[in-house]
Amino acid sequence: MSGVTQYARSVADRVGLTALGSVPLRYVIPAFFLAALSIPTLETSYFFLNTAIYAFLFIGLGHAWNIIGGYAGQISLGHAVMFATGGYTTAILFNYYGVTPYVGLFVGGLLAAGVGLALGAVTFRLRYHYFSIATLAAGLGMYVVFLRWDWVGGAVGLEYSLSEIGTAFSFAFRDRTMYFYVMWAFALVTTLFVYRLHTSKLGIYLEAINADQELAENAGLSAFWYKMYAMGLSSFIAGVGGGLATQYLLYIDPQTTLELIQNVEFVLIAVIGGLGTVLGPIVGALIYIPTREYTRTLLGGTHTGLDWVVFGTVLVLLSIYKPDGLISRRPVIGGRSNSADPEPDGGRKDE
Amino acid sequence: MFSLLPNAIVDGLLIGLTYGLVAAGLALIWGVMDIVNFAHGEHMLIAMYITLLTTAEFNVDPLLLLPVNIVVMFVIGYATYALIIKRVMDGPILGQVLCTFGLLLVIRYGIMYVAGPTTRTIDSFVFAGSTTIAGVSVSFPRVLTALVSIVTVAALYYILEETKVGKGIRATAQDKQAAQVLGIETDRIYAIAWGIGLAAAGVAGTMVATFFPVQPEATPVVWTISSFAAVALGGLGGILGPVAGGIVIGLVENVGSTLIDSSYRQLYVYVVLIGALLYRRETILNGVSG
Repeated sequence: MSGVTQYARSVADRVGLTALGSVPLRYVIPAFFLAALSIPTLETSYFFLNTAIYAFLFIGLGHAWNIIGGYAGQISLGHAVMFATGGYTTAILFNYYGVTPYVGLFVGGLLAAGVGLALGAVTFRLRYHYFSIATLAAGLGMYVVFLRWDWVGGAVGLEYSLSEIGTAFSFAFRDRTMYFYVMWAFALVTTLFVYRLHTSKLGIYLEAINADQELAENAGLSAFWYKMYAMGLSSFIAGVGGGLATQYLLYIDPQTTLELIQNVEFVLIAVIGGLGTVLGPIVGALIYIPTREYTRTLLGGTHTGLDWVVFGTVLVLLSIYKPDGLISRRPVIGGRSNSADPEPDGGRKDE
Repeated sequence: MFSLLPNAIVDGLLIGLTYGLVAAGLALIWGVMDIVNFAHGEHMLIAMYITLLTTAEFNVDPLLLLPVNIVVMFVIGYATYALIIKRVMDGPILGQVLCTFGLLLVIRYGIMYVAGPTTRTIDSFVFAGSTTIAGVSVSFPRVLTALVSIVTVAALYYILEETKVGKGIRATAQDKQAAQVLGIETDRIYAIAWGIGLAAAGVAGTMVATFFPVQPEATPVVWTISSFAAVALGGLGGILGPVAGGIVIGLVENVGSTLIDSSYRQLYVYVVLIGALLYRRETILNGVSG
């Protein structure tokens, strides 16, 4: 396999994926997370803590999407499916079967991974925008089903009973700062995981497949199975994140987890920050979530839609000027770039 | 259940023709430059809201807004290409998806901000009403909409087949470089394709607003996905393929709702869409011709 690794690396080199990188991540990541631990001591207002909690939750969710969308280059517009699977599993296990969320979160992640793999098995037969359309249809399809499925609460959704909150068993806290530490841990673990992935063989293979799938397959990589691998990992993280979101909100409904817009948030965070980078989702979440919370609060709290006009404009501008996000890709591995001019098109025009 | 089947078939055929028209506009853009307009339903929403707001405010008949919307949507399409799409054309596929998805958000929520999240219906329409023919209830606005769709599709077909612009569009779709060598300004052709594609959606939007309740978040996705499905079924090889695909989608949606469960009507379309994408993945893109 080392020959393949070598080849994949040269493919990645050829298309300029190994440019830039001056501050070592092994200093940046610990410094950031250690500093972040002090957030709850700075201020404890609802707005501030709520924003911080969501920011760290979405660092993890941004990583989840980044694995499949940034590293493997598969633009999934249906990641809310896995997010909702994790959330609903956690809530259903707790509400109907009395299973503690400590277990439920994990089961939700596994089930989300299963759903993600099933979705991938179908949609990875498609490429480019055909893949995006199929995943979008899957996401919207699940929305339609869950709106009318009584067992999962239909349009009303599922709620945790108030008497359960604050017990060790329910993993639901009265104190908001506890939630912050939980999300902080989620963000840390996913960041370390992606840091590991970034320099692993899998990470390099995914970037090679992203850069030029035909070339990667000629080198002996099975694009389909490596995409499936990435989808499984991405879905597991998205599922656990969905469970954590449910634990924080103490309810789950289709509108807030499965509507079209929910599929876009993951993409936005990875794209704002930087695709296929470890720091991308962190930067993306730290920009996106405070902006989202601020515009919503500023505009009266009710859903006027103006926030989405802003983010839509951001997406259009990013797609024109910075389609790879604010942070450029960091070196896949040691070597130097042969080409300074990235060409991430994947050879689409050749067909 | 089965007694309602003739009704479902008639309704499916009528709305299917309009799905076909919207899909033909989408396919024109998609086929000529390989860009998928995720905001197609939102563009249609613009025409719907121009119709709804103007008729409510000034008490004019929706039909009079048809030419207005054609011009407005053509200009929007032309400008969208010239100002935005042109800049992501040669970039990565991700940029193209994000770009039209960004447009989707801006248009959808821009309209929602201006006009509010309420569901709107038309106040008055000259051709409102329905009749019963051989036990099948037929609504006049639906019939008129289907007729207008047929005429518009015929016009699109004529433009693509017979006019100089149409030949330019087809030539550019087949081979951009060769078209440029022959003196065709491909940039202008792309912009015109966007203009025509959105004008088709504009016609459909104006007509559909006469009988279809419109809501900024719920309505556009129905039309976008239906046209995706129609294109996936009918291919991009011309405008008649998507129209045929649209009719099938109309039938699937209405017959499925009648025979199985009407609350899952969108789900049948999603299933057909994914199935058609998988089945036709090698043959969807075959250039544009009549």
